[in-house]
Amino acid sequence: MSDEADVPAGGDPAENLGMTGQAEAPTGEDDARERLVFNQSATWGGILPITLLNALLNIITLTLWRFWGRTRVRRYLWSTTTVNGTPLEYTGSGWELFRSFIVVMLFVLLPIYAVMFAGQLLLPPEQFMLYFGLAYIPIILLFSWLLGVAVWVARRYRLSRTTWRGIRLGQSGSANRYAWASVGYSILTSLTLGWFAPAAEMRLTRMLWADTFYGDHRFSVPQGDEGLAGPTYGAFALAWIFGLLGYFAFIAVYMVLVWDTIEAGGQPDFDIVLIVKIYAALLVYMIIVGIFSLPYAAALLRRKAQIVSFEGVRFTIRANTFSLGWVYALNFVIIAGTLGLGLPIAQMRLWRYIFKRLEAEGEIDIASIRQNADKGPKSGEGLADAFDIGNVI
Amino acid sequence: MPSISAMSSDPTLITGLFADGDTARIHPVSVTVEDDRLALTGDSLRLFWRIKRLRRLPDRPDGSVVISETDSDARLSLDRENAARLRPLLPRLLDDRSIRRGTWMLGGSLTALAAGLAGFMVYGLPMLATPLAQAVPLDVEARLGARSNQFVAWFTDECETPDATQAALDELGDRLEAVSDSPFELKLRIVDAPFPNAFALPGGWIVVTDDLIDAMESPDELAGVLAHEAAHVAQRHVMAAQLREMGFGVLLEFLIGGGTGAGQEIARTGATLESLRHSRAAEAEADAYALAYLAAADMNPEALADFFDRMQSVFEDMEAEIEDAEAEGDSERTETRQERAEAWLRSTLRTHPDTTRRAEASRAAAAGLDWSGTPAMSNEDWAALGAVCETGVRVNDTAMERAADRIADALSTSTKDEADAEVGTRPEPEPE
Repeated sequence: MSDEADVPAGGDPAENLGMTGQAEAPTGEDDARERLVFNQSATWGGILPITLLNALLNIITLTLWRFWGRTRVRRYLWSTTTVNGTPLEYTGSGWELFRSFIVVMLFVLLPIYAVMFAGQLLLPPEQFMLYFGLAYIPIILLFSWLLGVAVWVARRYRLSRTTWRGIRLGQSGSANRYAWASVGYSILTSLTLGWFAPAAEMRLTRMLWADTFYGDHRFSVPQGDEGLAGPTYGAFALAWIFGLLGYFAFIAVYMVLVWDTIEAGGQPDFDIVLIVKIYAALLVYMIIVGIFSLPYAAALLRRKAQIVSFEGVRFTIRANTFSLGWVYALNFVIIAGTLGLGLPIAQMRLWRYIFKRLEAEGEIDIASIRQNADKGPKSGEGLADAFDIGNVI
Repeated sequence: MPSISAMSSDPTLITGLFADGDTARIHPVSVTVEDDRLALTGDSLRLFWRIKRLRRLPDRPDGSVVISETDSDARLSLDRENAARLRPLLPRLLDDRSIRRGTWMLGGSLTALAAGLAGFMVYGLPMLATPLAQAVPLDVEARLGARSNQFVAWFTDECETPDATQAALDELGDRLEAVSDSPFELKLRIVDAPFPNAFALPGGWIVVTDDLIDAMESPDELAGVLAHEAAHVAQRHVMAAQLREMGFGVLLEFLIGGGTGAGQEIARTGATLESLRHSRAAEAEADAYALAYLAAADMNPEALADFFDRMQSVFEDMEAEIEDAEAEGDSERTETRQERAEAWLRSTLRTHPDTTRRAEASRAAAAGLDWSGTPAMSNEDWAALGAVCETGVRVNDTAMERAADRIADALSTSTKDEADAEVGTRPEPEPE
């Protein structure tokens, strides 16, 4: 039980989950109001065996294991996250994810590619470019829309497979509405050179949480979109400005690098050394942009927790630039150093960061919450998997 | 807490926490087995679960066991100690070995499924690709060819071949077409590109770069190369390769999804190597057919071997240049090492690494073939061919600009004439 050795002052998890009934202690049958206390006890020792088994099986099954592997990671993260001593339970299965991936491949992506291929065959070659030009924007729109649907559907699946004290979370509302909002916000974001991004992010977050349930109770969000992203704009401005400066610096470095290789004929010589140097410069640029985006990332986390409430209970995530930066920096090293095989460890670190810093204020009569009648979708998040966004969180 | 630990110390009493699946309330319960039922007793509840309908959920990280009934949201959780007490009473349900067995079975079946899919991709698809390619209607392949040909036109600079030269080229094509039984008319084009190469597109298009012609020393070598490409056309290798790659691509995406993890990258690299292996097999087959065509068309059967020898010396020259550059730039060590690594990479990943072997093989096979000694093309025509791209290149600046031009062309009214003129060879083979 190396797990126990790593568990911080929060206490022996066995005590918390097990028999203490401490959380229920003040539970007189009539006035059952409780505070909510979150704890997260995931450890390297707990996630490492899962990571290693997943890595091995992913390789020998040519990645087919990934659905079951992801399920195991989630099960571990959920079950190490407790609210008032009772862990969350992840009830999803690898089969559900696998099935929905197959369905999406057969009925969504294959037809799309078939239509595109048939278009190439059937359209007269001289006019192909014309049709391609005309179809370009609708195709981009279709894929952005699908991406929005994928995000919404995947979240509904994960929530419906999350229970606490036997009661399901869930998501109602419309995937279509969310997807169009996300397409529209993306357009606005590009029109405003990125400045709409925080508002877009917060509005989409509001939309999702407004339709989120625990049992038969709905989460609450502010009435309107006004001022949602306000507190994140300072940090965003920092990220934006340094992103732009960094971009100019990168272009300057790029020009210098390429200039050196221009010899007779005026054509740059893109040999492998130059390409490596360019990629190194790009990496430096991304790291700089990453560093200056950290305050924004932390601000977003804080703000997202702030706008959501549940039956009068308000939430706070004590995220700040340096602690979050450390999580991201080490995660970057872990993922790069293991060629991606260490992803579950990185996911565990971010998940643990969020739930260790999640606090709730206010009391709630939990016992009065009844089961969510909506059992959620029958199968998982194939669309998200096809777009490679169906990871853990 | 004290009362609970007092309860726990009784070795026969089994206690757990029960959530009824209807309200978000936790009930401490005691658990007993009564006949074929599991009885849960708490402060204000008593209920029974049929043991047959029990299911075990995955254990929690602390070793707690979670039990539920089929299709039920209710949960009974037992910590390690209490689970150990319940185990003798529910031996089937709480047998840990069955969980491990499940994992191995699942891992094993998935490995078998993956191996089956990979096997089909490696052995089944290539076997299917050739008959399938033969079954593709000619007009479909012709359309595909027109498409690919247009793409080549977008991304290379077209050489304006004078009519007389084109006629000489066409005559060469006609002779090879006659002996090759090609289902398509052979349509030869010369493009300006900074590398020596020749390739066949679907539908009978054969593209030769000016650098390749410059590297050759006789029209017979060109005939040898064209015979090789004609074999690709006649055997419908290009169609087979496209079908194989398409099937491969679809199956690969099915297998690995849209992901970018390490496993996915390994699978993709394997796929690339696999496709290289097949293109080599097709090359060898085309070499063999090419010799037969050359003999049948009374062209120099040794020309193919001559050409391979020449390409070999071109490669060697390129490598020598790299070595010279290394020798010169010895002052900067790290860079030299990088360059050496780069040279190694190039030689390893070359699509035609076995030029010498192909030269030997075709020279040996050519030894028994007759040839009257007539060159494949007159000296004047050959000289004119060599000058084609020096006089008549139409240069556009970038691929993007070319694409933009084509879009503008397509949008302008006289779409068809324009496009034909740009592609710049002869009327389209298929009706519109």
